[in-house]
Amino acid sequence: MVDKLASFFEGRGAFLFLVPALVLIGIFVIFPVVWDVYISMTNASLVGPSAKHYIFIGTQNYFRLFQDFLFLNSLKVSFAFTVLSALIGQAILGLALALVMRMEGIKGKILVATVVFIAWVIPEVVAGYAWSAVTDKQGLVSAILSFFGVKTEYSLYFTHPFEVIVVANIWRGTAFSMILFTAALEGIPKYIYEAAEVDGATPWQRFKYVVFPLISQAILVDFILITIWTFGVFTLPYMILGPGGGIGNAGQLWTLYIYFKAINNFDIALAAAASNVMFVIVLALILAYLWSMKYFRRW
Amino acid sequence: MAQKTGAYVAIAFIIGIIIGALGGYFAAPGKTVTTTAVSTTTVTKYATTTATTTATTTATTTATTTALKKVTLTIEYGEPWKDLIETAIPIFEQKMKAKGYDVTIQKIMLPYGTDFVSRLASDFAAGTAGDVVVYDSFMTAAFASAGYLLPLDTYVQSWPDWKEFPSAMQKIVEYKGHVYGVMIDTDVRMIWYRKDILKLAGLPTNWQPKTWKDIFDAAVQLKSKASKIEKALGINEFYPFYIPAGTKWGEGTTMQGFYMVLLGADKPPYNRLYDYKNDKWIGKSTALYRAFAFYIEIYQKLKVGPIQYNFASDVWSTHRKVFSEGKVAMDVGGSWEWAEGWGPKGVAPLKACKTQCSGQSGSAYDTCYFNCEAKYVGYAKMPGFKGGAEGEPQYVTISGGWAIAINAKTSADKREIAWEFIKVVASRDVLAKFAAEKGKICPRIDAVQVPEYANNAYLKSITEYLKFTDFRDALPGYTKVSKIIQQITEEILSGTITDPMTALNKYDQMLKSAVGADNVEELPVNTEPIYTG
Repeated sequence: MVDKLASFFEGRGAFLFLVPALVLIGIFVIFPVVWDVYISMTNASLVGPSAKHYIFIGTQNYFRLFQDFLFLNSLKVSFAFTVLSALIGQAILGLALALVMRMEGIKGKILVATVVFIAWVIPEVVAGYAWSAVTDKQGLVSAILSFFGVKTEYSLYFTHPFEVIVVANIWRGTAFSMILFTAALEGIPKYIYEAAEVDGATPWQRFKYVVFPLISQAILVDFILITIWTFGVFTLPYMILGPGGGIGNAGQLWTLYIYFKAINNFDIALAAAASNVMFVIVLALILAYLWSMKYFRRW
Repeated sequence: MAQKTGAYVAIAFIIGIIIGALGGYFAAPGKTVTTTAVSTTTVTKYATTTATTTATTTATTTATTTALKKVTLTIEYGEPWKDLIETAIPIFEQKMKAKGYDVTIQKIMLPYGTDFVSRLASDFAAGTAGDVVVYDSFMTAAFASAGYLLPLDTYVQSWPDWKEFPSAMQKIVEYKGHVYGVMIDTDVRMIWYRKDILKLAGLPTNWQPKTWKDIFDAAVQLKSKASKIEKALGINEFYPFYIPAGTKWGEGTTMQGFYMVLLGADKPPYNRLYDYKNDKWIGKSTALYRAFAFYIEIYQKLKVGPIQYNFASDVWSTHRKVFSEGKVAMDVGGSWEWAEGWGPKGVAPLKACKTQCSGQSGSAYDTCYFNCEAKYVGYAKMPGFKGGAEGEPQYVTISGGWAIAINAKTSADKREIAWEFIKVVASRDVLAKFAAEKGKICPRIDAVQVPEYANNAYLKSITEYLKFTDFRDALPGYTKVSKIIQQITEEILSGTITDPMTALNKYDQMLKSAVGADNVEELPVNTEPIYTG
C-alpha cells in the first residue's frame, strides 16, 4: 500500500499536485508575458481608434523605441541607479551593518537595526512623500545644509533628482542586504574565527580570507535579488519625481518611462515593447550572475 | 510569560488587520468597480403588502406600496465636481423613487492631485470606469473613437434642455456627428495678477498688457523690485511670471500655457496646431516659433519664471499656493481659480482676506472674502503678439471644460437611469448654482435666470471673454501632439533647449514620428526676435 502510494507520487500523481500552481502561474505569469509580447507588436493605444481596433505591425515599436532619446536615457539612468543604489549602496552598507551587528560591546545596535528596518517596512508611498518633504526647499536636508552655511536656492529633488532617488533607495533597501548578510555571518562557526585569531590573522585578513569566501554565495544571492528589485523599483521614485523623472528626465528610470508612455502618453504598445526589452536585459543579468555563481563555487 | 503575551498580542493584531481589511474591502467604494461591467439589477419588494381587512372593521383598506426596482449606479468624477454630484444625488434619488426605482449611488471620487485624464483612460481600458463619468471635454474624440463612450444622440434629441446649450458647447462633446457628453462647466483663461505686488513694483493695479512686450516689460520691472517685494510680503522667494510648462502639468501645459501664447502669435488660421484646410498638423510655423520663443524668454533669457514649480509633486496645488502667498505676481491660469484656487473655500485662500473676514461666518464671510479678494487679485486678458498690429487676435483666451457622459459598457437596462442622472446634474438650477458658487462659467444660456448666477459680479465680468474665446484642436491625434509640447517646454525649463529654432526643429521631428510625416506640413517661419528688451 505504502509502496503504491509512493510510486503514485513519483509518477503522474506528482504532476496532479502541481496542477493548481501551474494554472496560477499560467494565468498570472505566462499569459501576461505572452500578451505583452503580442501587444508590443501591435499599434494598440489606451485611447483613440487604435484602442478599439489595433493591428499587427511587427517589430516597428522596437525600432521606434531605440530611436527614442527618452528610452535610451532611461536605460542609462536605470543602469546607473542599480549600480549606485543597489550594488554599491545597499550591498556595502548592508554588509557593514551586518558586521557591526555581530560585534560585541557596541551600544545602540538595536536602535540602528530598528531604524534600518523601519525604512524597509513602511509603505513605499509614505517613504516617497517623506523623501520629497525631506529634500524640499523647506525640508530637513536644506535646513541642515543652511546650518552649515550652504544656501540651497531650490528643492534638492528639483536640482538633483537622480542623486535624491539613489540615496532614497539606499535608505530603503539596505535592510534586506543587512538581514541576508547577518544570516550568512551567523552560519560561520565561531571556531573558524578563533582558529584564524590564534594563527595571528589581523581583522582585515580574517575578513578577506575567512569571512568573505564563506559569505560569497550570500553576496551573489543578494546581488541577484537586489538587481531584480532595483530594476523594477517604481513607487519610490514615482512619488518623489513623477513619471517624467524630474528636470531633464535625469531620474526617469526605465519603470517610470514605461508608465509615462503607457499611462501619460496612452502608448501601451510602445510601453509593452520597452518592458519586454527590460525583461530580456534583467534575464541576461541574472544568467550572468548564475554563471558567476558556478564559477565562484569552483574557485 | 512575556513571550506568550507577545504572541497573543501579535495574533490579535493580525486578526484585527484581517477583519479590518475584509471590512474595508466590502465597504470600500473601490470595490464597486466590478459592478460596472456586471449589471446588478435586482428586484426586491418593499413591503409589498396587500392587506385587506374585512368583517370586523368598518372600512376595507387596500394598502398598496409599489415595488421599487433596486439599481446600483457608479459615478466616477474628480473632486472639483464633488459638490455638483452631491447636490444632484438626493434630487435624482427622489426623482427615481417616483419612477419606481431604488437607486444606490456608488461614488468613485478621484481626489485633487490625481491626473484625472490618465486615470480615466486607464479605468476605461481596464473596464473599471464608472457607469457615469465626468471627463475633460478635449478627450471626447479620443474616448469616443476608442468606443468608451455611449452616443447620446437619441437622449439629447428628446431632451428639451439641450437647446439651452449654445452650439459651441454642443460641438465640444461631438465626434463624427454624434454627441457623447453634456457639458457641465466651461471656462476661459487669463493672466491672474496680484494687485498689491504690482503696486509695490510701481505698476498699475488695473494692469492690462496690450502686447507680449508689455508682459515682458512688467515681468522685468517686477524682477528688479524682487527684494523689496520679498521683504514687504515676508516671503523668501519671488517670481514675476508663471506660465505652465513641462510634463508634470500634463494637458495644463498645452491648454493653460502654450495655446494662450500660440493663438496670439500669428494671424488666423496660422495660429493653430492643425491646418483644417489641408488636414495636416503644423510642424513648423511662425506662430509655433514665437510660442517657443515666449517660453525661452520667460524661463531662460529673462529668468522671470519659476522653473521648479513646474516640477513640484503636485503642480496644481503649488501654483495656487505660491500665487496666494505672493511668491508669484502673474500667473497664466483658468477662470475657475477665482473661487477654486484662491476663493474662500478654495485650495489656497488668501491669508490677508481670511484674517480680515475672520469675524464673520456663512455667506457673510463669503461676501466679505470675495470683496477682499477683488482688492488683491486682478485679471487681465492675454494679448496677441503685437496686440493685433499684424493681423493676429488683439486678445486671446481658450475654453475647455468638463462633460458628463455614459460609459459604453453600462448595461442596457441601466443606461436610461444613467441618463436620468445626467439630466439632473445638467439641469438649470443645479448647474447654475454650482457654477456661481465655484466661479465657473455655466455652459447653459438660461443660467442667467438663476439669481445666484446672474448676481455674481465676477462671472458677469468674464462673460466678455466668451466673445473671443477659442477651442483646442481636439482631433484624435491631439493627445500625442499635446504630449510633445509638454516635452519640448520641459526641455526649455531644464535648459536643454535654449533657442526657439532648436525647439521648433525638435517639435517638427517628434510630431512627424508621432503622427506620420505625411500628416505634417511645414509653413514659412519668421525668425525675428520677439523681445529686444
